[in-house]
Amino acid sequence: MSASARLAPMTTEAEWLDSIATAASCERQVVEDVLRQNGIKAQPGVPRARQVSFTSISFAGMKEKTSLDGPFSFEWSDLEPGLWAVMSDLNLRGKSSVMNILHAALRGDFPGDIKPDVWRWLSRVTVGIVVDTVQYRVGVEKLSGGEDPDGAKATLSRLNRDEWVPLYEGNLTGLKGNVETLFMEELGFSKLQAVNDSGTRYEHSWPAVAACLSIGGNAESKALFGEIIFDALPQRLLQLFIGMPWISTLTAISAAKKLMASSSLPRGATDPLAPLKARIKAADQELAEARKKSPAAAGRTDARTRMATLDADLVVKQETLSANRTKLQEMEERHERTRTEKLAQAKLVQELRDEKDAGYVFRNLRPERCPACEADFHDHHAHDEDGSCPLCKTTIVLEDEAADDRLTEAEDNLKDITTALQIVAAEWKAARRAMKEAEKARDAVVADLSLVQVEFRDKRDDVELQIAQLEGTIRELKALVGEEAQSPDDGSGPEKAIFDAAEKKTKAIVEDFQAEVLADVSKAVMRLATRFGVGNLTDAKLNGAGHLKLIQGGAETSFSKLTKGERLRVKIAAALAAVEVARDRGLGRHPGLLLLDSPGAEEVVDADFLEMLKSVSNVATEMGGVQVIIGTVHRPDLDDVVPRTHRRHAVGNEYLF
Amino acid sequence: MTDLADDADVDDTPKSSSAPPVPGTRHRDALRLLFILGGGCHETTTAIDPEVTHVFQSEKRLMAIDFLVRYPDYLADALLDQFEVSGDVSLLSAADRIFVDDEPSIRTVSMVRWHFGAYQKIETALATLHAYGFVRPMKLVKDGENRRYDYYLYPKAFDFLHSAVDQVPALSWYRDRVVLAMRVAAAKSGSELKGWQYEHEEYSNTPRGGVIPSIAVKVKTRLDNLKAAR
Repeated sequence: MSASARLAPMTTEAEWLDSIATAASCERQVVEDVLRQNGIKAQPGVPRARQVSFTSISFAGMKEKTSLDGPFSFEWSDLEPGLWAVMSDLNLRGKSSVMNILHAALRGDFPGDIKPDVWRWLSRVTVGIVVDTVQYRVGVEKLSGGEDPDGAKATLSRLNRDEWVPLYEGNLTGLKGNVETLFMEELGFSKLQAVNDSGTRYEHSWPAVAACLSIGGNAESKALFGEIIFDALPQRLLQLFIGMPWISTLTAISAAKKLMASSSLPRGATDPLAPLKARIKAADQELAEARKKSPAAAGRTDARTRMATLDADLVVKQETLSANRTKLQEMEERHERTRTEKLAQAKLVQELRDEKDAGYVFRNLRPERCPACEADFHDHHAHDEDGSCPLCKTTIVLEDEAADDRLTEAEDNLKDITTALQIVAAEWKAARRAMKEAEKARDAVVADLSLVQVEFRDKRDDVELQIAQLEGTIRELKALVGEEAQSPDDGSGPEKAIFDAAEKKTKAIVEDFQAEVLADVSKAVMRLATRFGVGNLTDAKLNGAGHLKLIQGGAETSFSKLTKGERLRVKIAAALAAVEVARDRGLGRHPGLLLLDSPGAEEVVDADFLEMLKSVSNVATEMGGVQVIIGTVHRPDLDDVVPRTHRRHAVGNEYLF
Repeated sequence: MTDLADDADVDDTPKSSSAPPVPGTRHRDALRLLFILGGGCHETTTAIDPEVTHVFQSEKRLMAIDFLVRYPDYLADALLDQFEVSGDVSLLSAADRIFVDDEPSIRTVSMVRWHFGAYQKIETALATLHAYGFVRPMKLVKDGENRRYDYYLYPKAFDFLHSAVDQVPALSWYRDRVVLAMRVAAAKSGSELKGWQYEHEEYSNTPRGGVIPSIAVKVKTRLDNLKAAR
């Protein structure tokens, strides 16, 4: 990222609203109302990245109809950020099951990709996940031998001080929504809104994000990021991870526009949506009551709102601080250069002045002999009037008049540069002060933020999930009814003009930023993919639509046209590139978690696998707080890269569980 | 005065590569040399010339003291060495003063390192001093195995130095600087002083023909540490 972009002034919410009002030729108040009614919020800042990692996985059950029937269990605890590996010397020894259980827990979606036989055997699964400092636990209990998900019981709980507080207890199907709400809100991600052709508004949420964190297995890699290729999702997920300011605003505007276009279609005279509207009204009332009932929940919601505000503020303060730091550095350098010049000038003045003074005292004397021929002027006549030796004619006393001019000039220069130095010193001091103030302002936000975090963690609120669920229900109902039902707009009122203006303004802000980010990511993808053995790549370009164009062996190609093995490698390269670029830019919001299942499959040769491992290890170790878990067949290269304490290894014919 | 008999001069004068004298500093250089000769000599009489009253022993010593006058940072370092031995606070404040006045940047007159250390041809300056009847450069003195060049001084030289400072008070810097340098050099022979110079790796690592670099940053840090430790 170039320094100028980092320092580019951020567009504030007020500036954004004003520019939309001007472009749409209406009052700012109208703009504010229309945008609010349509759920469009200014998001000039990027929330701070939150850290997600697994802390433990344990499961148990009873194997049936295998060569090794009987009870089994698997325990792996004290997981932290860093590189971890689940491996076996042979295939089909349970690696993918461990990886799939982690993935299922992350999405709250059981059985998910867990193989039916393994799912049948399981009786208990517990997975620990930490978000920043807050610990969560996903648990599933069922009868071993039961395949029906309905017979299973799921829990989601949070550690409050030393006590696990249940956030959800119920059947498996309800777990998914609760895990989704939890992560989206804890991570501060906005849902990615989309509208289908019939005008129904829907959202891509946590499963889409979680899909980006898990790569490999037997699944065919269709999309560069995540698993879904439509709705420009790969691109939008990338934007989410890299931390593009304004991107969720833009998404909301596009959805609102699409919705408005579909609502202008003719509609029947009777309102078939009346029952749904009644349900919305009822749910709204329930929600209001739930909110009243729980001041703790309100407190937590309030804390979350404050946290979001502080997050955005932190980004602004951090930007100001880095701008000030750069400025201070410049001033320091300028001061040092000026000081060096001043001293050089002072040295010249000293030299000229000393020579002048010494010349003066010597010239007041009469030499006794010639310095050149040593002729004694006591014996000979004193030296000639022109100051030369009567014998050898050497000039004895040199009157250097030019020296006086040189001294005057040097003294004038010294005066000038001394003044210049004083000015630079004052500017330097001011820059130091500004930097300290910026630091203080940043630290204050950080302090506030950690206070709110503590408050947030310690608040007990069982009603909160009820509120979240009600909110979700209302959202879904409203999507079904279509929000246009509430505003009898024909699509030509101020709304259209406002949406158009808002889209144009917001797009302009996003596009500048995006071009740079895409260039960074493209470069990283190209570098990593080449190292992973994708041959003959000469260019990689990720475009604004989320398509990866490649030049391979001189011919133009794209992600979707690569072989299965190449796609897997490019996908891993893209995932690492996203983490790398996000961390580099300091604005990124990648949660710093990657699950790589069998990255060595698909005809990856040993050397390429080693390169892949090294890059993964770099990402895991060099960038603080990143956790990468790999499931793989054991290869000797692994021993150098993954610490012994970070491995689970089924040796020879052994099984992992 | 210490026994300087071992103070052999080896003729390391660069013969062919002698740089032309820096234009415009011949009076200053002659005067500085005279201050050093005047500050580092002792009384003597000689049959060669009954008017001679003082002698300055050894060109090597002259070069070594000149080096201390020309490199305020090395002088400050030597003062700190002595301070660490004697605890005499005036040495510490003298070193401090050198940095307060930015002398390492302003007063340094660079020297080139030749085969046997820092050296500058002084024939021109000596000829000037001889012409005014202040100094009589002596030819080779043989003292057993050792050879050295000595310099005789006439009383006129001391009168001239007095009146020079009276006429132009700014020139007292040279008088005072020689006094300070003599605090370091008084008890040492030219060889000992040279040996001390070589203890600085910046000095000993300077390639032959290279300008001897400053050690100001290092000495300033040392000074600050000593001041902080008090």
